[in-house]
Amino acid sequence: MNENENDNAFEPLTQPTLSTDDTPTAITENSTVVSENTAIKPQKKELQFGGRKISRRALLIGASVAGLTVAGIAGGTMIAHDQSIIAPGASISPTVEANIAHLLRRVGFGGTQADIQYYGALGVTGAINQLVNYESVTDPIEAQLNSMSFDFTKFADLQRWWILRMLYTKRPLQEKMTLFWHGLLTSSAQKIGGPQNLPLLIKQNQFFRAHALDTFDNILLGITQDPAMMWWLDLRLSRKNNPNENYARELMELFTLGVSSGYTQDDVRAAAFALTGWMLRNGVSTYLPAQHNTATQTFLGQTGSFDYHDIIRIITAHPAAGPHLATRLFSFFVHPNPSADEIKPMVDAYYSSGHSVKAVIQAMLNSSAFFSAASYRARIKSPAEFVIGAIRQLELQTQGQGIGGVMTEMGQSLFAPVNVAGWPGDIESDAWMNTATWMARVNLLNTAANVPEFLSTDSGNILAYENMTNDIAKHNMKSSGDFINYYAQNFIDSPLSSDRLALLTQFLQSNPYPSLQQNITFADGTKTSWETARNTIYILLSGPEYQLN
Amino acid sequence: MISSRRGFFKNGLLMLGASALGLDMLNTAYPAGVLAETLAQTQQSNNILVIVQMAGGNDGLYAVAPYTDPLLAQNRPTLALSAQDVIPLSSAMGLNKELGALQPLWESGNMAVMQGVGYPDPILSHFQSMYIWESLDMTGQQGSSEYGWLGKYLSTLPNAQSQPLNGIETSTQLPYALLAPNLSVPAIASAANFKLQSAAQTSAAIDQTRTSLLLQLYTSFAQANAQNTLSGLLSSVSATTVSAAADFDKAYASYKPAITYPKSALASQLQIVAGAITQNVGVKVAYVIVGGFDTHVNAKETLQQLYPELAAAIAAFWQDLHAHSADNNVLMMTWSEFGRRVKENGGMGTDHGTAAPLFVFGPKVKGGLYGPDPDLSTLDTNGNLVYSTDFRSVYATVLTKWAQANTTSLLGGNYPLLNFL
Repeated sequence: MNENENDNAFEPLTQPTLSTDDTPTAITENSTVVSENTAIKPQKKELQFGGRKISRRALLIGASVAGLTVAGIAGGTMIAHDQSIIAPGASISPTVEANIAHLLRRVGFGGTQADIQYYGALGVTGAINQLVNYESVTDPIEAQLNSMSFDFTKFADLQRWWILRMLYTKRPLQEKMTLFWHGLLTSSAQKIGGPQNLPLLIKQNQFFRAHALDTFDNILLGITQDPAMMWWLDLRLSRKNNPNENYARELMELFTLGVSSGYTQDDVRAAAFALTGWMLRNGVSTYLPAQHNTATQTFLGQTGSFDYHDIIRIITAHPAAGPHLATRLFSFFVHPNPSADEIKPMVDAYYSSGHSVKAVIQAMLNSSAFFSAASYRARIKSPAEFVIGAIRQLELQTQGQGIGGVMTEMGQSLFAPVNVAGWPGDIESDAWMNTATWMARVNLLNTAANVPEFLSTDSGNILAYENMTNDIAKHNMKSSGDFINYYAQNFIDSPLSSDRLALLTQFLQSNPYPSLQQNITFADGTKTSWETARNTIYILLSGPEYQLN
Repeated sequence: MISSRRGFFKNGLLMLGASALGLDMLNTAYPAGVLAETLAQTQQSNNILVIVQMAGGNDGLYAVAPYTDPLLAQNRPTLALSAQDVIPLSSAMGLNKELGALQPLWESGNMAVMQGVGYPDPILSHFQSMYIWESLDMTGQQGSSEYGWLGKYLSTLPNAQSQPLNGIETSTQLPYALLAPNLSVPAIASAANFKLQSAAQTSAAIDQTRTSLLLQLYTSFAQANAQNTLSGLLSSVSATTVSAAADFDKAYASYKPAITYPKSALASQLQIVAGAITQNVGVKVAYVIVGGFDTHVNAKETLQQLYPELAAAIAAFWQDLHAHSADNNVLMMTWSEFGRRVKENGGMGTDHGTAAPLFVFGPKVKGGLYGPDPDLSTLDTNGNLVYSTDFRSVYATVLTKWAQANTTSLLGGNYPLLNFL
């Protein structure tokens, strides 16, 4: 597939100002230069990722009408943690379906109906096991991306490469963890020494992916000597007898222990001395023992001649390290501000497993908190969750152009987080939501629902006329109510409450958008215009439930 | 109970969207907010406050340097300014020539330099110190205070619930300072994109039907899911967006900048602010943010780029306002979470520090240099400067003398007023 011919079609809407060599320019990424074109338009020639279009059609054969008419999960009610294993091919009970949808939104970027069928057949426990033990899943994405051409000195291509992974990976948890690490152990295109060094961010991203569920020690040892990190937090220029404190401070404050864990300015200084010795030579991190300060330091109550191994060993064993990591993970995957009780299984797993992140994640996913009422719709979706999820669920096919810019408008510029603390929304999800970001969300959906290039049938858009009429026939939607609840079930887990259903039904029946092309006919003979039908789904996805995770 | 960084949203703002669309979606009166009883109402005023946040910790000694002090060069091999590097502000203090675009504002008496601004027991964490400056919660324990000082101020304006554009900011990340009880302060990160796109080939009236229904779904969801505070936030944000965008877009369309703004992220943001001010959309507080000041290494090189950008953007903003005769009721204040270490590190940069100067601009400002010059011979145990002016005194001065607000209730105490206004 030659995709270069269309490479310039959609430049990212926002690019950070890239600094020249040795010029740090970031604590806050705040660029506001946004082009006027917010539409993501599909290319004429689409890459087919893993036969998704086939699988979509296949899945809809399997989606039983009965499953749609049984009452599902209403907003805010308890989701039972159903442990039952269901044989492949059997129909999924509504409870399992809703649980799987919740699970896939959290550990990944939302499930298509095919995904929900697939993981549902494994049962909740089986699905968790498969998602966590992802190394057993063959993922063709790496080979697919390798067959495409990217210029990693272009910021837009960095974002596009990652977005395509998020869209089409078979290992959603590995990708979600990569995003988690990027938001916790931040680095940024804003301070990488110029465009020629941007590939270092891909290298770092691949490190996060390869070690996504490794021990915290291994992850910290790797990131400490990661070139992009050494640019971002200045370890490359921290000198033996007069170090800078940047990495030492943020390593404790943001990455591992938290600001209230009790470390002092003296600990920051001691760690800064102990972390000396690193240099970057031609983009390669190099440890020079002669440049390491071997003086005796007292660090977090221990005294000795320490190097970076010692600093990380002492930090990861610290009583604040487990709770801090568990809180960050829980806030990212479950809900903000967890109680000590809620994270206790994760903290216990951290210390009893030798700081295994996999053990912590397993403890989280298997805890009662994960499927509790307090977790359901308890976070605002991040832009990654919203955009990737919408594209997947609407079955849009894309080569990824423009999506990075749309996410930037929503407040999440991949490879350029807000500042060294990453994205505030990863901790408190309401930080994702303001007038600028809400506007960007609904405008993206307007594009999906109304821009003609999107709606051609070969784009795969679920709102394309052919696809929509096929679904109406296949699922025997008799009325506008059936129609609305079918999509409500697919996109927001459950049919609408009667008052909300009435509002949407009234809209659909009043048919405010006059038909310019075709009409939609339900089984009972009633009609509405395709435009009205599409915009009914626009309203459904622009509404509050779909903003929540 | 699902917690929210922004506390509770009542239904008050929903009336905005409803009235903007000519609907009667909500008949409930504005319920008493968390702070509504404790914050005194502010009188109507036409004065406008523009905040420029310099994120990362600006090196005050490099911006406004004690260029005759021999201790400066002793501590800073590469970051000590001398006479040829500065525009003298006094016999001892000089403005870095990289900020030279500010010189006309200084010379015309429209620029005050407040020296040594900080607070007791300074904290060297970016995020705790920012939180302190924005929330005035001096513990620095993020989350203890749900609201920011400007958000509280906006909530006391007499038309707080009916005028969505009282406050604006220009990034996709609402600053803590603007978190307000019962208000969603509009974020307008791009003037061009701050409008609802319409469905293709249809009339605006039909889209309005679509938008009305959408807002109604938010309202009813918030009412049915009151235990989930995110539902109130979503309801508030959606209604504010629709209402604010309608007001903003119409006004901004007729804005013609009087000058060509420089190409920088800050200049783009200030241009949005200038458009809002010159077109009289009712802005009382505008907030912009510029980053990059965390100069642990190669500070000179970094600031050679950042300072001219900062100064040029600010100068352009004032020229534009002046040309529109819209500058008389505008005051601009810069701030940064801390200054930097007196002694340079081995990477030609500086680590986190404490007190630093901030700038106040405007035709009504009493220009000049305020506060004692930095004393490099008396540092704290970490080698940092000791503050001389509490930042809360600066806020109190602005709120009292400029915004006509009830300062004591907003700041939770009384702080000496300063003379720059």
